[in-house]
Amino acid sequence: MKHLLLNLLFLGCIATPLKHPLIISTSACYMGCPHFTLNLQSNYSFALVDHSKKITHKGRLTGQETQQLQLLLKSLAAEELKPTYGNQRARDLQKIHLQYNQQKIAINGKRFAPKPVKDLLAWAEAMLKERPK
Amino acid sequence: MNNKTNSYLILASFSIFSLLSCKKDTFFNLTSEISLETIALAMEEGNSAIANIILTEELSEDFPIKLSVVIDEIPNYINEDDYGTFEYSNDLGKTWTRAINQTVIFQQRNRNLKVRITAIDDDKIEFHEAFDLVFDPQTTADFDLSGMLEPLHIEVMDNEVTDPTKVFPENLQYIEGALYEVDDDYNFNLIALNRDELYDANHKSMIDNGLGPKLIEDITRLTQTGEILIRRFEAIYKKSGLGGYVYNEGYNTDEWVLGMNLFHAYHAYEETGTIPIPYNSNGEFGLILAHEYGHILTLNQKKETNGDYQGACETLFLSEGCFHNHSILNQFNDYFYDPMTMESFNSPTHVSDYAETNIAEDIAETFAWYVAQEGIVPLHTESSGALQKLHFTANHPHLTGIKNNIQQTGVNIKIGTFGSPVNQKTFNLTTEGKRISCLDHIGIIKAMREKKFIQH
Repeated sequence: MKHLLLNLLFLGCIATPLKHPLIISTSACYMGCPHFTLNLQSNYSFALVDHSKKITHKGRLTGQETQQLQLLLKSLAAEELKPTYGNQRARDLQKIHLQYNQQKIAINGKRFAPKPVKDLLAWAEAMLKERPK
Repeated sequence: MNNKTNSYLILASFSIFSLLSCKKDTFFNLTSEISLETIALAMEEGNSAIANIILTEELSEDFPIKLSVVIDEIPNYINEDDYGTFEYSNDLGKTWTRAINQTVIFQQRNRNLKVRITAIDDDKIEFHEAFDLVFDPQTTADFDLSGMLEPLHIEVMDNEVTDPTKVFPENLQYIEGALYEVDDDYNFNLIALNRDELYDANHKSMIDNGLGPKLIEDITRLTQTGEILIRRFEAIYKKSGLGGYVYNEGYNTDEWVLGMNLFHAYHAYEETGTIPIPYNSNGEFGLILAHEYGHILTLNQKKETNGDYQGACETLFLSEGCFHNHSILNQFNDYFYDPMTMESFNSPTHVSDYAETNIAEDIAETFAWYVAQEGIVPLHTESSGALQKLHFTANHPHLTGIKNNIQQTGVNIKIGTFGSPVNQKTFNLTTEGKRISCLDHIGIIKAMREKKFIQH
């Protein structure tokens, strides 16, 4: 009975699946910005490719990562996103591609990204940093 | 009233007077608790901050309090010329007295002392500043003051507003560092600053006292080696992978903006992290500067592009426009990016990993590597694509004399020690872990024949 209650509680806490896969892709910049592609499926399984180290991490987000992501996506949902950001003529700034809710967003230079996107990028960069080398 | 009554009245008045006088004379208290009303204050330049020092009991003697401004370990420390003298008031701010030797007097029979400091309103764009105001009561052993006066942290907000004719207000949010306008005499005038991006006290000093003279000299001299000058310069200072950037603000004109991350001028990357170094002592900052200037030399309007739209362009077209037939990049494209031949070049085909990003980065990287090296080994039928690109850069008429001009500037430019993604660590590195010098032509050929180079 105790286990059943715990299971019910656990099920109640299961994260809502993502409606659509989330893809974040960043380019290198001239000295070494985090260069990765994160492909996150609806069930929170992911493939994270570290292009600099030529390593691919696969797995499922932890409960904490999922919670953080859900908060970030909530902020992102409130933002009216444009298809492009940044100065397309600027050379050597990091290029970021985001696919979110089937919308494709291209950013040339992180400084031009809206805050919720910057926060999402910081989360993904932290995720990359925390994976075992 | 008779005389007797008068005598009683005089006696009574004298008694009351004596009683009052006696009471006053006998008031004695040197014991109280002392405290500050708040531990943090903020003010804008030109305004004042007032600290309230409170006693729980009136004291029967004055006592001085020595004030000091402490800025240790405060990265946005206030400069001495940014605040005025201290004043104090023992009558709740009705009258103010100037502090002498940074000492204020807490008068007897009073329980509130106000200390006022004014921030000087200057015309300088600077970071918001801060300091701790420390109070040191100078009491004799007779006093018994309990409690304590915590240091008061005071923030001073810079009130300079960016000139909207120089930077559109909606674009201010995109500035990461300090933006300078470069005038016709090549003076660097600060026009905007991201006050949220202070890295450390050294960074603040650069903004307050000007960028280092050698830094300015290097940028000035190197960006004047060609015919295209810069109009704006952004000095970024943050520990990030961004080395620099360039773009042309002008359309059909050359209004180049150069951004450089000065962190790389004053820090070297080690396996374990970063270490401070003297300005550009490892030459990496110089290499980034050469790379960025390589972009300007190859993407400018004056010599390289024409005004044709993409549809009308019969040569290479990039976001900077349509390139002249004889431009550096159009010829580079014809030679190295022809789909029919581009697979035929031997490895390494690019001087660095970053050069593989796109054709504009390829030529900028090749240019930087070309100017960073004393000489280039001669070409051979089996020479790598990267070496062929170095020769292309050396021989293009639009770049004639540039290397010599740059070397004469004295800018320290070295092919760096930094790692990924500018992965020069594998350039000319054999599978046995031996690096073959770019100048050792025979060694390169031998290693190539034996397929000993690490393949990109």
